[in-house]
Amino acid sequence: MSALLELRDVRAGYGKGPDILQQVDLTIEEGRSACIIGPNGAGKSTLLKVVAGILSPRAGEILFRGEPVAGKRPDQLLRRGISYVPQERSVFPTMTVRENLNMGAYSLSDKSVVAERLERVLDMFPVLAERRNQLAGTLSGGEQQMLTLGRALMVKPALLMVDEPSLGLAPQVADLIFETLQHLDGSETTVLLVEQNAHRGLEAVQWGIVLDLGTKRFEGPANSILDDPRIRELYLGTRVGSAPEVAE
Amino acid sequence: MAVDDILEARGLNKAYGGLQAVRNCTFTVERGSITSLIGPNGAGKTTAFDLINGVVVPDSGQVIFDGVDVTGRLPHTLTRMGMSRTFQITRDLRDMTVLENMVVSSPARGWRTLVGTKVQRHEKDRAMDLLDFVGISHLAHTPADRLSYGQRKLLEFASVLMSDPKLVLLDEPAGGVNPALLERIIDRIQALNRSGITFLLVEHKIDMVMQLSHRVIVMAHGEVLAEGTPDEIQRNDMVLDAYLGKV
Repeated sequence: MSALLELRDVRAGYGKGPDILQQVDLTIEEGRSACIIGPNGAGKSTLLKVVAGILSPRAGEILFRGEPVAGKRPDQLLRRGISYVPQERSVFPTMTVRENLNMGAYSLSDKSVVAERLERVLDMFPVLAERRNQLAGTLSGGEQQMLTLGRALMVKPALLMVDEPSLGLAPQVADLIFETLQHLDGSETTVLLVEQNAHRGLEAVQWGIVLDLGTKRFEGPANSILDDPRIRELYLGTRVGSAPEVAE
Repeated sequence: MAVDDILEARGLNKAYGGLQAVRNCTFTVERGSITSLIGPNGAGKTTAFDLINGVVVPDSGQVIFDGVDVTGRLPHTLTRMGMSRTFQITRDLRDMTVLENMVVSSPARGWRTLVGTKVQRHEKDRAMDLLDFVGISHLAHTPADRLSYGQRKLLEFASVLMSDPKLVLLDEPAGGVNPALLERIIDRIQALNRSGITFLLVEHKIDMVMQLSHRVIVMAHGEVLAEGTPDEIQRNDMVLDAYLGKV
């Protein structure tokens, strides 16, 4: 395996605020899809934003296929093969499904390649194929999530980062999304997922990474990481023993 | 409601469209306690707060505060009765100074006299005392929009105290604040609690919750999943599963 993405001592935050990521060291191996889990405020979404170029790191190095990419713009990163699906599900509501998908390929100039990619994505998402001429704004929440995924896949990214795909979706719909992500395993695309629903997210990938308070705590195979005793402490706090008394 | 409960949520329900944000939610808050409401994202914690302090009217169920059914009463009425609340996103008035922000939070001021009337001596003294208490009295004459995020949190914390509340609802008091400030907020909450103020918190910083709280209420999918001391909650496997999404 070779490293697809490496973060070294990355620090990042918003505006004048405190560091949300503090010294994150992380390696994503090519072909080994991963899910980042951790309690609220761990810095999971911020990490994806930094890799996608939405937020510049305050310090540290980001290497993609060994080349430094920290501080590059999202479109430059997309051309290198980093695709990002943010939490806010943003389709172009007054454009058709097909037009939305083609927008995902704006960085490609060869029309025949775009047409071939469109067919491939429509094969992956039969629902989108059925609705290819429908306005995206008329799709259900789950269909819109598939559309944003499909749009991100139009460039055949080497790295597909998805932030909380199950957010606000009914369980059965979320299952469909995770199945699709799982099917990308073994393709040219490595998935990096952030998911609040740790069980679901980890089922779809091979590797689990636990983030807390802006640093990586530990990592391991996705199917066993939740058995680690440190997980309980992370989500339910350092053990306190007996409770203080209510003052009279 | 037991004699020593200051607040009771009784069978609260609230739906937004097809989403049942809060479902048959029942719990009590003991007078004099620090009680925390925790749970995974989307559990309905903030909606429960909205229902308790009158920002949102429940579809059904009751809110009993200090022995009175206050269901559907407006937030400012509740403030005058002794319940005040902070918000997750700080909502100060940015064109005004820190001190002016404090004064408009005074319950003696109805909206007619909210602005444009002279600041009374006692209001100013009280405001300065509270700013001093949270450690930002040196910023009293600074426009609120010049404050850092953490300082704004402290301002909001101080301003809810202007009404001499019996019960304070804090929505993520530790959200986005640095560790030093967090220590100060915890310390101030404990000091106020010792003086008799009851606190109900929604907070994600779990270590803070477990250290600070007398009781913890866990919500998941709009319902109360578990209730107990921090120690009981930490040992509860159902609670862990809820956080990890295994339901």
